[in-house]
Amino acid sequence: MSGRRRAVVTGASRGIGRAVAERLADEGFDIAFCYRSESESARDVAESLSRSGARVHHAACDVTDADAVGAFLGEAEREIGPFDTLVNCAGVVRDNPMVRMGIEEWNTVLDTNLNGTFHFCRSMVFGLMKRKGGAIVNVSSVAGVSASPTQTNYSAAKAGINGMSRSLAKEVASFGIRVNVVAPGFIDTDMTAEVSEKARAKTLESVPLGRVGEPYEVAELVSYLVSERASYITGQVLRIDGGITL
Amino acid sequence: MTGSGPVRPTGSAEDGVMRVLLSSVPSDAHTWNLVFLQLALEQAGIRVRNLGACVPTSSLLDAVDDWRPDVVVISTVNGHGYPDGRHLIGEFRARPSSRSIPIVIGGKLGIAGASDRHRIRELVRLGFDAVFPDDSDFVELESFLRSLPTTTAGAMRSERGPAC
Ligand code: B12
Repeated sequence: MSGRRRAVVTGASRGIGRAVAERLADEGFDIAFCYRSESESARDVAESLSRSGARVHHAACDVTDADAVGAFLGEAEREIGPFDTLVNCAGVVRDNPMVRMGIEEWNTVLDTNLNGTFHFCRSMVFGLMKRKGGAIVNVSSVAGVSASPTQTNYSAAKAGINGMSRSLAKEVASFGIRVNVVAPGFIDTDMTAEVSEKARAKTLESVPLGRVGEPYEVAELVSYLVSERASYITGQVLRIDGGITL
Repeated sequence: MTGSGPVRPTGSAEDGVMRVLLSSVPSDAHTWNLVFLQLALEQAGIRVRNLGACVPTSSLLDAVDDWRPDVVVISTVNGHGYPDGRHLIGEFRARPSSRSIPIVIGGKLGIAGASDRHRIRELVRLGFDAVFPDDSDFVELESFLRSLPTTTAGAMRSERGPAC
């Protein structure tokens, strides 16, 4: 890949998505990012990316809607140019033990996390194939590789992302496209801020490194995976979890 | 889609949509290369007639007479592309009705992997307008199609949704 690189980052108005977008912009990427609904923080992110010298396109996009994803990408490409990198971070949680889990909670989590990731991969992969190269990183979770009680919906969606990504990696490897997954553990974001103090303390007991992770640490791994430095890595699910799954 | 807007036709199209006749060579049984090219060309706003795999040269020439495409795109990956291409272009250029129609060939033309400059030049000398060995990408074909002289003024529409 030569010239200035261009990345699409979903769910980038906060948390891991924001850290990834900022990190890639610092490395010279132009960035298109989306988020669920227009917000102060999205404008903040756009300004921060522009300060790094990146060309930026951003818009609200319902990742569960395949047409909306197509429209967002069409607009983004017209403004910025063809993309070579995709990082899927958009995700939601609706925790509940299965006996209490509503159909709505199940569907929302599957629709956003798994179908949303599929919609972006599907819409972008043919372009990458035509240009014979590119990198995709899907952000999953340790809940997709090990048990996570009260998160059967989230676990299913994240395990789905892992499987989909491995198969896609094999499907498109001959086109010079790499697909990997980053599976974060307990990271300090809005999503984990909703966890009670007690549950937080309990979770930390099982983290060998003894602390929560920071979004920038996940962004570091993503930036490595989309770079040429990771040119021989594809189809992998890399845990970044302070050792919680050991 | 790369470039700006759909690719424009070179000549005959009445409705302003470029028409590409896509085909393989007689010996080649592979099909995904053709499916890939058809999708990519359609995304570029081109109308495609895909003749499929193992197409006898006589059937290709009949399809040219029948449909009068703006361009013919030959795709082959089984490694016989150089000899098959030489034979095909001889018949194609010998026939008055296809003498002036642009035609290109691409894919895994030989079995040596890397592109063979000498044999590529040979195919061009025999009458192909362009040769796209395996290290070229679709964007190069699209640029080539865009570079063809246009005669139809009407603006062209993409026949598919946005392509990234
Ligand atoms: C699937 C496959 C088959 C299937 C095909 C099924 C089908 N319905 O298509 C079957 C099993 C039938 C098959 C048979 C054979 N195969 Co086969 N097959 C493959 C395989 C594994 C994948 C091909 C594929 O689908 N690729 C996906 C498409 C989308 O990509 P692509 O074909 O590479 O096309 C791309 C480019 O070449 C380019 N391109 C192609 N055409 C054009 C044209 C233009 C204008 C442009 C710009 C670009 C372009 O664009 C495409 C997208 O990037 C390849 C190995 C490989 N990994 O490529 C071998 C391969 C193509 N096969 C090969 C061979 C030798 C054969 C056989 C001769 C084996 C035999 N001894 O029987 C027979 C062929 C018989 C025949 N009469 O042709 C060789 C060809 C050798 C070479 N060229 O160096 C390959 C490369 C395997 C190898 N490494 O040796 N095969």
